[in-house]
Amino acid sequence: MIAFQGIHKSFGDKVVLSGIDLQIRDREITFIIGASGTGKSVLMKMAAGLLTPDSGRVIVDGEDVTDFGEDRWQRIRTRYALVFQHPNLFDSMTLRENVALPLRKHRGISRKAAFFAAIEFLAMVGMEDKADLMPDEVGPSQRKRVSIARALTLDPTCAILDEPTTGLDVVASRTIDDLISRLARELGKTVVVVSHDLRSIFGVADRIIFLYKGRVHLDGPSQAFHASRDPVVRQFIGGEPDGPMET
Amino acid sequence: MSRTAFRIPAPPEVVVAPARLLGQVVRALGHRFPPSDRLFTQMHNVGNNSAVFISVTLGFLGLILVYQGCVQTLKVLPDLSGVGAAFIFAMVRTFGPTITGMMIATRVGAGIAAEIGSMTVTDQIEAMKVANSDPVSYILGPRFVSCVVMTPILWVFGTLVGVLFGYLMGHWRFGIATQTFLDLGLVSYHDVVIGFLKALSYGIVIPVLAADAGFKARGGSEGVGWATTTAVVNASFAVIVLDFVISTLSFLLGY
Amino acid sequence: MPGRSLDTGPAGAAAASRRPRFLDAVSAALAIAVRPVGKGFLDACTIVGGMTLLQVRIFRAMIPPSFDYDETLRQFEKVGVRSLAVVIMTSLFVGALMLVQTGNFVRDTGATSMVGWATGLTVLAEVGPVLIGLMFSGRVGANNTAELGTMTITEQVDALRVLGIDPVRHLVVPRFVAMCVMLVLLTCIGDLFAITGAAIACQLIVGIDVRVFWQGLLEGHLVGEFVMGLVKGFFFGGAISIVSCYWGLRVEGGAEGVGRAVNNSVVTSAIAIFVVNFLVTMLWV
Repeated sequence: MIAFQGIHKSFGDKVVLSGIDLQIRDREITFIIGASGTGKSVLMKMAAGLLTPDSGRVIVDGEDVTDFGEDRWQRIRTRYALVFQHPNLFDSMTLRENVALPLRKHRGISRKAAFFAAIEFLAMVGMEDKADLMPDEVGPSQRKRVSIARALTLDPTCAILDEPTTGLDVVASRTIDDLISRLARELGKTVVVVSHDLRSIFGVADRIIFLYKGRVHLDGPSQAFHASRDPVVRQFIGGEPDGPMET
Repeated sequence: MSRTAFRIPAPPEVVVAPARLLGQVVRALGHRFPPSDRLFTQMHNVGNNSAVFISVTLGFLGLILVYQGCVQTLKVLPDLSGVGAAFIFAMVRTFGPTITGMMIATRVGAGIAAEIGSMTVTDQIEAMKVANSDPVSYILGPRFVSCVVMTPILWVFGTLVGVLFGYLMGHWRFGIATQTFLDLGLVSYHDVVIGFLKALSYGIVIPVLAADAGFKARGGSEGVGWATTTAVVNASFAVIVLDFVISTLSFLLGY
Repeated sequence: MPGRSLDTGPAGAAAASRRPRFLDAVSAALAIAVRPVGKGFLDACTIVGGMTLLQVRIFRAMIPPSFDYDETLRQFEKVGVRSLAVVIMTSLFVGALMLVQTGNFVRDTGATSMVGWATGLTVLAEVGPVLIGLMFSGRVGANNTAELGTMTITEQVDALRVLGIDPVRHLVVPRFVAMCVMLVLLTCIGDLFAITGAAIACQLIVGIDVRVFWQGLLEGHLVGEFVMGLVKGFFFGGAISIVSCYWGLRVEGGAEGVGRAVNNSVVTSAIAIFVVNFLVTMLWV
């Protein structure tokens, strides 16, 4: 379980988060949505200790991790699978080596065994036949799928996916959606997704959190979101350029 | 003509491209000299902003050369009176211009390549060409002129700093008298001219090699990194080769 | 921010507007003149402090050794392959250059037997290691900063951290080890080629028989100087790796940021090389 309490964060003069309070419950699929620049990615990076809040607390599994140093964060982070918005594969390694690296580092297994295990994870995202290519030899959507596979290698309890379907075609997006629901329903993982993709939001989400002006604007199941009469939410769903929403 | 067995091999691209660029920039400068405000900005960047860096490096060089000189001389004879004159001679003729040149290749060369490289990979150079303004004269022009002017000035500055620190080492650590140490007896008119020629040639070559690397940058941050690295290595190596060539020529000509 | 204390300059001048104008002008001029010095000093402190911290983290990862062996091997290969040609070419020219310089003296004094000893001394003890170090920093150090910088801005370093892998153990320590060891070997090879270059220049340019050169070199008993040069190579390698990794890991802001970082890296490396050179010679001789 990840909890944020009164998180404030600004970069220079730009206030990004002004008082976020929310809890992410275990074994649920939570979607965090909002206009660009509302600090969704910032919040997710705080959950993994890559950024620290200006004020407020971050609590992971009942442990206050806000002031943890790099060494103690290392231990916490292996419980997460964090997939970045831009696929950040190690560009000096093949796809297979990319996926095998965390296994070799944390499981203490041989190179050969790690390479063998890596294939299974690649197969999970349908990339097993491209295992020995370099990252720049495959397309961006395939890189993204491999980075999801790499993040899942350490059997994390919680998967955080930052815009997993942005830039993917419709078919590939649905593959990712299936993967997301399988992670939660079959493997019992907590899944947090930052997304703009309305189709996948209403398809798989258990709960939707809508961020607006640095705060939680709406928090509820997807039906509640759909039924909302709030003008800002209506405008976001409709994707209309005119309305009360400030961007 | 085509039947002759001996043909001069084509010079490698590393030499041809900068040479062509040099021709371009000289022609552009003859056509239109850069306005003084942009020229002074660049001169400030090349000259003033390098002063501290060159003071530190040449200062430590002066210290160590005199230290080694004294220690090695003392192994053979107890008389240190010749160290100062030999040291100043070596500073004016070789170490002053060459180490200054290498430092400029490092700081200014890398700077020029990084700047032009980032402009190239973000398509700003292409945009300039489309807008019908010549990137070589606009970007390289002022940088070239400032390097040509400032390198000899920094040579004088660096040599003075090196000699000063060498003197401090000789005076305080080894007790060489001021008059004995600051002996210009070995330095002749030729040595100053050769030192100046070296510095001038470095000033011409460094910006051209750096800009050549910058214009060739391709593909994002990796391209900029490649350009900067290439500029430093090529410019530093050119400094060493030019030093060798000028030293050899002057030796063979008897100066 | 420690830098803020310096900003009281103009504010202080404004507050003291009741004082005579002359003093205002003086304090304003002082603020303009002193602030860059103070800022430069504080920046330098930040940089040196950051590098020291990195050094501490490297040692903590090495005792007991827990770093990536595969990556270390890969770095050994990369560092060696990248720099060998540059080092050989530089050394050849530097050796020849030093001999021609000595030639000026020899022509004046006629002491041909000095040639071998004097060239050997300068090349093995001082000029060789420093110039090889500078070229190595331009080739390998700059490349390393660019590589790590690209990894930083494309969030590959963050990816490592998220996977619970310490970037210092995985990226920095292998480079540190590889550069320390390889620069010693490269200095060794470089010395060999510098002597060769000197011998060629001796025969062909200065016109002294090469046997005179060899004799002078061998009778000079320069083993101590040779070893000192290798020790310098070791410390230069360490300094270059720490400097280049430090700048690479704190790159900000795209391609331009990488260019700036490489520039800073080679400048700081050059300063480090001259300072380390000074310290090693002072402690050794």
